[in-house]
Amino acid sequence: MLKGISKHNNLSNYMSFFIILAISLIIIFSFTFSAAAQREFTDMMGRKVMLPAQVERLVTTYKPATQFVLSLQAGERLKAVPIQTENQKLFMKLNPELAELPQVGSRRNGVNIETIASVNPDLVILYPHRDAIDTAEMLEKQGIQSIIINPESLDKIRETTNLLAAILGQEEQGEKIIEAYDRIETLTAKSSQIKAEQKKQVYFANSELGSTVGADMMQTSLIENAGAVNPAAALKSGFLSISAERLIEWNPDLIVVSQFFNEDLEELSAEPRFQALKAFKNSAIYRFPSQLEPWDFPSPSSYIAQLWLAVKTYPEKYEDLDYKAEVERFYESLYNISFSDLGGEFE
Amino acid sequence: MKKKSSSQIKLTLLFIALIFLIIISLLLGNYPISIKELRIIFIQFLSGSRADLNTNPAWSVLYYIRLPRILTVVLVGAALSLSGSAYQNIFRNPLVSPDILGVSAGAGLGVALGLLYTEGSILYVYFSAFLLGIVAVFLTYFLSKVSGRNNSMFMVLAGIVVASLANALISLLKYTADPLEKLPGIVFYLMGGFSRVSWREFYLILPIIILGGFVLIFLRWQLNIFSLGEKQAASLGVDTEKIKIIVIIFSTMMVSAATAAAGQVSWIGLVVPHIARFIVGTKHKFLLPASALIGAFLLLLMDNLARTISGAEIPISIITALIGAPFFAYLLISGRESGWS
Repeated sequence: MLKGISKHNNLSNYMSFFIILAISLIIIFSFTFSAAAQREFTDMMGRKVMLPAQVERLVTTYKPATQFVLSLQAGERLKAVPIQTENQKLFMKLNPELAELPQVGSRRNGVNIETIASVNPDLVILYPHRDAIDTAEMLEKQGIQSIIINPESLDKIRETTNLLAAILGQEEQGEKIIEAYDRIETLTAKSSQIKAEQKKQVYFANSELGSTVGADMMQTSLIENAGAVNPAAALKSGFLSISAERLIEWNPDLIVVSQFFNEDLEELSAEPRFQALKAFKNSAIYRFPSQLEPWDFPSPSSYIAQLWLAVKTYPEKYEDLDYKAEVERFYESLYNISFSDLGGEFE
Repeated sequence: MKKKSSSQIKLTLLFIALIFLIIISLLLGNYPISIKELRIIFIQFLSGSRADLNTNPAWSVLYYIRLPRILTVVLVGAALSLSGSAYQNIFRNPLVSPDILGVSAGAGLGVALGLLYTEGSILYVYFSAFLLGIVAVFLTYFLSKVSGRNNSMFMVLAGIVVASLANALISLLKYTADPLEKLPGIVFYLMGGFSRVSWREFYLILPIIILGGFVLIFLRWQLNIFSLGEKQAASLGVDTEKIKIIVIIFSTMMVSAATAAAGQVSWIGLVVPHIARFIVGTKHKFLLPASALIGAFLLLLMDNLARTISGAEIPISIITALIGAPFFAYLLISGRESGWS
């Protein structure tokens, strides 16, 4: 009788042991499962962010952010966009419905937190400046996660594509874009082997001929990667203005101007004071393409800007390169549609 | 006796109007909150369950975005108008205001310096805003004083000199700032606006503005005497220099706090004292509270426009200047800015 009881007890002990084991296993599994549903990322300001496995509702707060999202084929996930999105030709060709979305603000004027909250996003992609960290904190109070991107050089553009591809679960498309970047770097490798004394001088003009950029700027690194020298980089970092005299003293081989250059290039090249300049004499003045989207702004297209600039600076080195085909191919990789099909024009 | 009570009624009406506007403002915004959601919030609030409230998105919009912003706008509007009234009185000059005396520009320079050369603590930004605001206003004051010409116009000119200097230094700082991270931050901060405001800003400026407001209202009698002119004030036994310096310090403290919280907000400090004088007359017992209430009311009205007119934010200075400048022109032409003998 006693034995029977103890046996029975043993049996029930085993039973309860297994039941407890099973329950704890279920609990452990469900914990790991929910932990897997939350993924940790570090954004480009070093902030740690926990994001759900599926990031379906997106808000972008400045133009480059929108462009990265579109290149990752996630345009339909956008629920709110920065101001003036409807004026971006490329965006309107790719996802015309973006024009109808609520607009939350801009890098320049800040964002309206309420407008962001009203579309209930999984993730907000913020612009890189000090204020963005405060904005991120305010969004967090609303239970909204955000990341800050900082695509201000070719390497950081690469990093941005990788980070966003992982967050959006678009790794395959991300790979495709990175391959397109790699291809451009391979093509432009010729320029980087140029000896220092043979490097050409390339001057970049922003909105006017006298406004340019110095060290630590995207455009300067494009010039340097193209195997040339930006004379303004020796003066200071950031934006700066120079006199016509200084420009004549530098006498650059090439002048490239921003897509948003305001002066008339024809008129300028007719001005007597510039006739001595090599760039004017050789008609080596070019506007950054394209009318579809400005390549001289930080975005995935900065890579294609790199190719354009290298070809313009050392045309003799790229004689065997089919530049137009490369541009078409680049857009094809990013947007599944070629440059000319998007309405892009070669000059 | 009769006039006094009518001013009191006017103040009460202004106060009620402000409270009314605050309530309306709480209901305005780009995040739609229905009456039903408001009722839920109200019930949750009364039952005292913070846990339920904190998971309610409508509540977190109301409590973490709208309320701190509205209250900060009220404080900034009151502070700018109070100090505008005080400056106009002690300098006996209806044309001065925090922007015209160079205080806003000086404080703005302080903000830019603080943003550039300190990492982390926002307190340094406030402190350097105050320091440079004070330096700017005293520079203006002494410039006009050493000229020996103690007239209103010269003080305005001195203010222009100081403001230009401060703005030039701000431009210099912007020129040398790191273009990618620091520069957009400074430009954004100084442009003025309440979109970045949270409870932190509110609690930072609240004690400063309450202190400044109390000091000014405490000195209302001396301020009245100032309107008679410094000589008469001195003959009535008022230490005019001492009062002047106290008023300058506390007014500037308020303007600096407002600038550090919201950037340079123009026109309010100039226009509101004129409206207040038009409504309640020149007695500071009524003029100061009226300025504070009207300033708070108008700035809140303008900020409501700034945050709801479009999905994005419109910089507040655009609205204050678009409304303030024509209004001031009207006051000048109609001669209604009187109240000054």
